[in-house]
Amino acid sequence: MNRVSDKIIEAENLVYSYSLDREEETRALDGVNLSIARGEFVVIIGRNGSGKSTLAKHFNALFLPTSGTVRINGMDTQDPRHLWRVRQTVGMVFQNPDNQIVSTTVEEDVAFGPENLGIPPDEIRRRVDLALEWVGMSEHMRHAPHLLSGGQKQRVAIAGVLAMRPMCIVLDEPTAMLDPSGRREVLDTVKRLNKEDGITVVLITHFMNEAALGDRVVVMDAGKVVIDDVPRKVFSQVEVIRRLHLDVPQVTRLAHELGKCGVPIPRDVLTVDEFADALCGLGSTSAVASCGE
Amino acid sequence: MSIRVENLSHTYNPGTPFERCAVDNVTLEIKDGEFVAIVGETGSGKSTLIQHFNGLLKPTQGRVFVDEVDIWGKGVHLKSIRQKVGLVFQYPEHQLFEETVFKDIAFGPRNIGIPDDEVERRVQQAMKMVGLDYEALCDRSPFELSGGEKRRVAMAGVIAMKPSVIVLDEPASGLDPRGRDMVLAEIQELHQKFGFTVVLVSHSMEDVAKLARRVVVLHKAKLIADGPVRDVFSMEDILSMAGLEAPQVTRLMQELARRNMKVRTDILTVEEAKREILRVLGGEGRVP
Repeated sequence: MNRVSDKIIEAENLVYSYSLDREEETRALDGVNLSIARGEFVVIIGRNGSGKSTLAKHFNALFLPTSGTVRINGMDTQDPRHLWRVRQTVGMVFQNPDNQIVSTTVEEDVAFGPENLGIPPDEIRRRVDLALEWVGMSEHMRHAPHLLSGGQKQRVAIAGVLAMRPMCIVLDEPTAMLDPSGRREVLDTVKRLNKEDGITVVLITHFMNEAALGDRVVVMDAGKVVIDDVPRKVFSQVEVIRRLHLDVPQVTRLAHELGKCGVPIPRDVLTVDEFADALCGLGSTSAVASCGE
Repeated sequence: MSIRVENLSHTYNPGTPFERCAVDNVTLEIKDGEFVAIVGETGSGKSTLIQHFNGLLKPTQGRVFVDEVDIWGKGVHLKSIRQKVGLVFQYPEHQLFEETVFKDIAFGPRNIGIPDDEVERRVQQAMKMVGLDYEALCDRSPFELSGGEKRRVAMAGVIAMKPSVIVLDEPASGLDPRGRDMVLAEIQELHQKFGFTVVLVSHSMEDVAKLARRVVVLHKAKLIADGPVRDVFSMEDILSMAGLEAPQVTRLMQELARRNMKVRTDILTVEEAKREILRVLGGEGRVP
């Protein structure tokens, strides 16, 4: 097990069950095995009630396993001595930005976490400035958070997590309540943190074009991991994905439909450019004739 | 039932340092039987605008007509306007509060003094319209239902008031893809089968492309485009100015056109894109 150190999240036979009326036991997670390496960008998708959020809440010990184990950077989350270090290692960002903002100015809000950790004031100052710079919100430092747009609020929430210096950020549908440009702001920020600062990202989403951004897509259903692969492989299984109540990006579906009609577009295209390249690259005469440079 | 707003402006907190003009001189008519989408960024004025449609907000300037009646004119009962124009807010399931699905849907009609047997008929009908099984669900607690079901209970509560126009603010947000498809299919049916005039506020251009005929684009409190979805979505500059993005297939066709492929660029759905690509490939694709 000398590879433990490069795994930041490891779930082994993870079961989480609860009972609503003492009689029936519901398994929200039913034997999940999943490991996430440092620096990965993993997207978790699944229909409502598939266990995605329950799983995510195990990653910073908001929930503890009924059975099985969750290790965060090697620390067993069941061990209460690790609690604060686990929470410092994995930061969470939730769906509704309004529920995550606690202070009256942006900088105070971002300082809240490090203050709680007992960090010295000048170090807090440094962390807050840096975190706000990372998410592109420095100029709003002294503004009231409730007057910001949804995308800006969500970036402040991310900055608050960053100020804790986590190795990993888990985002549970962070764009669900945002408009298209708010979504773009948040995703660009998350991508940059992953690529440039090497922060591990776990993103839960219902938007399939967001899922296509990950290095890896984990599909949950009925409390289990049912698919775990690169986006291309996951979304090329159009029928399987649809059966799981999910969807694939429109161009992937189009490639699939055209494939049925004998047009050889690769089934695993995910973006507009890939599709256009593939269509223009079709070796056949008529396609080439109608496709210029 | 038609809704017409004329030179409508709405300013929040006028005369204070927080003064903000949320809707700026908008003129718009929604005709009986239309399906109109309203799109725009957060803060562009969509929610403020729709709250004028049934008199929840009073215009700072301009007028609102429902069936050619000025709703802020003398002697007009806003109560009757609100019954004609039903508003389904964002995350309407947060507003469920009764013990049973039946009571929750019956709350509105009972409140306006509808007799019990008529209330029951309306609840049955409303549940059927949104695809909920009356027998199986009427005595259940709304809080035990799935997200999509809760949302449809909330929609049924508005429908039970028998409005002619239904205004829905982001009815599919937060649902998974299947839940989304189901709620949208119900809305389409409300329009096509039951003849409701529908106004849909949405951040999903894919949904707008699938459902609406006409789209109104708001940007910084002003109306910047109003026309058939097909036309508006092919105006890339308008959409990008409004911070929006056309559906992925529409953008694909625009990209193909940029690469000199002779395709139509006003494509809205996967199905349309498929037909168009097969058409330009000519004999290439073997259509079954």
